[in-house]
Amino acid sequence: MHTEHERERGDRRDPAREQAKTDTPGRQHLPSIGDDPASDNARIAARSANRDDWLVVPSVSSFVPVRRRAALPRGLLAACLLTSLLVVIPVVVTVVQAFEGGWGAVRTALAARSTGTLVLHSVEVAAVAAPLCAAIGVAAAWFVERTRLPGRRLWAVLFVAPLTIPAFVTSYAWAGLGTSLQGFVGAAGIVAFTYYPIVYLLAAVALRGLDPALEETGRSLGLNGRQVFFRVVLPQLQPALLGGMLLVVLDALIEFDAFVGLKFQTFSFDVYAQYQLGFSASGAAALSFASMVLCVVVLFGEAQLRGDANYTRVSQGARRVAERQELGRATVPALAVCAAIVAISDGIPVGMLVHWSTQSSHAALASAGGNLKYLFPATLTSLEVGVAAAAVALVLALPVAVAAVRYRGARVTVLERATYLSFALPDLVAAIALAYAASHYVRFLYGSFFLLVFAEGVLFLPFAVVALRATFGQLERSLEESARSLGSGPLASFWRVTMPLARPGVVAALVLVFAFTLGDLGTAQVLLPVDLYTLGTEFNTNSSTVAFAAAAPFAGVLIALAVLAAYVLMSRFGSVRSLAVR
Amino acid sequence: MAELECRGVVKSYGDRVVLSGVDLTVPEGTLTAILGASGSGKTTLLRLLIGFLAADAGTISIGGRTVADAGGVHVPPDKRAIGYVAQEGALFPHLNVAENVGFGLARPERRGERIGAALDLVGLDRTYAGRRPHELSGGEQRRVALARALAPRPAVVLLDEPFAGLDASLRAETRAAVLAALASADATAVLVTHDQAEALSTGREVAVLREGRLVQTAAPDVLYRAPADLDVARFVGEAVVVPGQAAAGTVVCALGTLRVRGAPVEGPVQVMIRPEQIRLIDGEERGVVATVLGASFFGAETVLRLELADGSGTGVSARTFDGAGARAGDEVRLSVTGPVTVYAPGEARA
Repeated sequence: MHTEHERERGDRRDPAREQAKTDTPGRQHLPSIGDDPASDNARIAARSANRDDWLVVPSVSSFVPVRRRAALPRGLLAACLLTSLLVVIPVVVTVVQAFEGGWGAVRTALAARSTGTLVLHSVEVAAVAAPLCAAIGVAAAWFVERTRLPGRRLWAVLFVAPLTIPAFVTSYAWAGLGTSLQGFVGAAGIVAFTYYPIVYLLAAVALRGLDPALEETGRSLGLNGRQVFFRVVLPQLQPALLGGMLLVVLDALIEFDAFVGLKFQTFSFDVYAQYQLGFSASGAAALSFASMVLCVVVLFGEAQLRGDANYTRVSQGARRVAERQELGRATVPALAVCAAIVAISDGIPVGMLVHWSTQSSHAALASAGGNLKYLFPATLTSLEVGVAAAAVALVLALPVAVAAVRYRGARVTVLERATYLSFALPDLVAAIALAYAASHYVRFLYGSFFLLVFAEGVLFLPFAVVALRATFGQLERSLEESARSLGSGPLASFWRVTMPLARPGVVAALVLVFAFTLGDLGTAQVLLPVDLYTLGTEFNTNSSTVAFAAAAPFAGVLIALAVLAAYVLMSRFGSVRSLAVR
Repeated sequence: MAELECRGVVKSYGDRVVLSGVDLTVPEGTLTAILGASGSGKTTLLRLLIGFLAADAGTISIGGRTVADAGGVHVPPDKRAIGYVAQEGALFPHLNVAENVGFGLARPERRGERIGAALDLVGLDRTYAGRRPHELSGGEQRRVALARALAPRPAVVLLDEPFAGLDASLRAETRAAVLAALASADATAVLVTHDQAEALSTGREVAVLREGRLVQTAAPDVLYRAPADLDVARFVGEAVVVPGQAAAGTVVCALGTLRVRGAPVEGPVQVMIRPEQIRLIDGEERGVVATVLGASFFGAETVLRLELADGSGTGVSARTFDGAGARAGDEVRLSVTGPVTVYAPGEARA
């Protein structure tokens, strides 16, 4: 069989077969770019591979031809290195800080009995929340992208909104539900229902990019709808799932904002307490060693999980749009599931906000009235910080995302992974490290608006990279190559071809960082210039004094902005400018 | 326009050698088709020529200028003055036809006559200028891609499977338009394809790439009638191969005594005959007797699968214009027209 196959290919005796191959849409780039002797298998395998940029296909890696990639250009390498360096600054500073107190302090902090417990708490939360996120995110994405569920666009916004609603608002809202949630269940639940949208967004992109022919083939081979989902669709969502869960886990390990209302004792909460109580900076910094180790372990573990699979990207070709599944009698249960997800993730914070605003304690109302004059300046400051941080993150993320999509290789993988080190420290610790570094080495930055913007931008950089990659991965390489052949340099090609087409993804990246910055508390509390206040800090100040009615207007503006951001994300994340319909 | 030259181009990925010393010269104003199967390295060669890849060894020159050599010269694609037509055309979806065609032109030129002239060249009406790529048919997209490549007056045009994915009639029409455009632009061009009919019908010369090596570069008719070896013979078309005994410019084989092309050889050989050289003949005494095993009807022609009746069980196929009536089991008489090509026995790898 094998030899006959090869001979036939060599002889080219069968023009009809060749013709058939030629005419298959979507194959154009693979065979010739691949040009590999194992080509037929590779072609099928690679075609069946999910086209989104996460595209790592461990199961077929052995077939996938070595992709020929030009060496990483020096300018791009330098830009990526710069980004990595900036991300690593807080980590390095924290290490230096930790050792300032000498070995003893480090050892004491690490050996403390509580440290182990706290780390365990964080790990447990991550371990429970990540699979939950995966399940919720995939289910939600499936309903929105592949079924005729009524009101899909509305659902899409509601599924994304929990991510953009500030975690501390959600946290206080959950805390308001009662003391039963003030423990592990509440902590794991809040992380799951706040961060499942990450999986949702990535899975939705992957589902959109899936070739419907694969599912049809599955059906023709005798699989029923459910079997097709588990045996054909789900394996292809694996890269999106792994990527999404990686972000969830990393985030959960250092999460602080989400637990601020629940008073759940995780490790970053303890770090926060240490600083609040004015313990030695080096001891608290030493505590962060645990999170650094966890972060590296998770990054390494995830890389192992993916294997050394080749990243494969297949040209888009002419793909049909998948038929949406008729839900029929399942419509009502499906709506109920979606409603339940939304009720927990969006309903609790929004409902609690309404509840707070209608609380009619006179004292609270009085202070609420007094606080309203801060609403406008706080909103303005929040917007300024958010926009500036988004711009910083975009500039830093662009070279990394381009390198990750276009010049894959060991070096680029390391550089890209380095950006995830912004998850190595609780944001509070990172912020303090930056403040420390600024006060010692670049005094003029200390307490400046710019330092805050920089910190927020770096903190949420991985999300910008993910959003950009999801879009850049959709763009055909041959477009940029054509631009190069027409005399445009690398930067000009990027500017004239890549950027215009990737605009929705760029917007998504900006909005993602903007929303996170708006909803960030820890960094702002440390680095906000003394004369400024944001929506988040005002909310926190007021809610800390249990004047929830006073805090409500700030939360209201935050949630309104969050829903707006969710709308933008829902429609743009991972997509390429659509030109077919005008 | 200028010529393109490769000398000793080598490229490997890890320990897999993809190109092992490619020499290619494309004379000015001509089109050379590079023909190769999947895995032969043809796309790698194309990408080396464009500059998306750097060769491990060897030199590439375009228009007399060395654009790549082992000494570290590597002119980037945008400085090579090449035109590149990617598979499927790769038109910029966010730009209309005129903006696509004008992409490689300097700003002042984009408003001038050049865009219209390029559209004329590929036989597209100038009213297409405002259309978007998704409003064009597949064939029109290829033409626009070629117009875009030709507009900046490149020294060499490189086409990567330019007709792949088009249906048969559109393919013929697009091919004619592309060839006419290249000819009237007096372009030096390289076309890469895995389709032998396409290579033979488009190239002034056809270069056969096999396992990273150009095994033969020749005019299409020479390549077809006198392939360098039996593998090439089978790659560029169907071949009937029978053993024979050569002497004094002729060869005696199961199909009779046939004239040998080229320099005379002596002794045992393998005889390569193209199926269309085998004709059915009327009359009782002449020719070689064969039994029809099956017939494939293609409209203008019919391909007969035959077994010689000499008891040797030798199978041959004949491409005929008059065999439509033949049925399995029929007895026919064959003769071979024109000279045949012979090879040393045991030479073929297959």
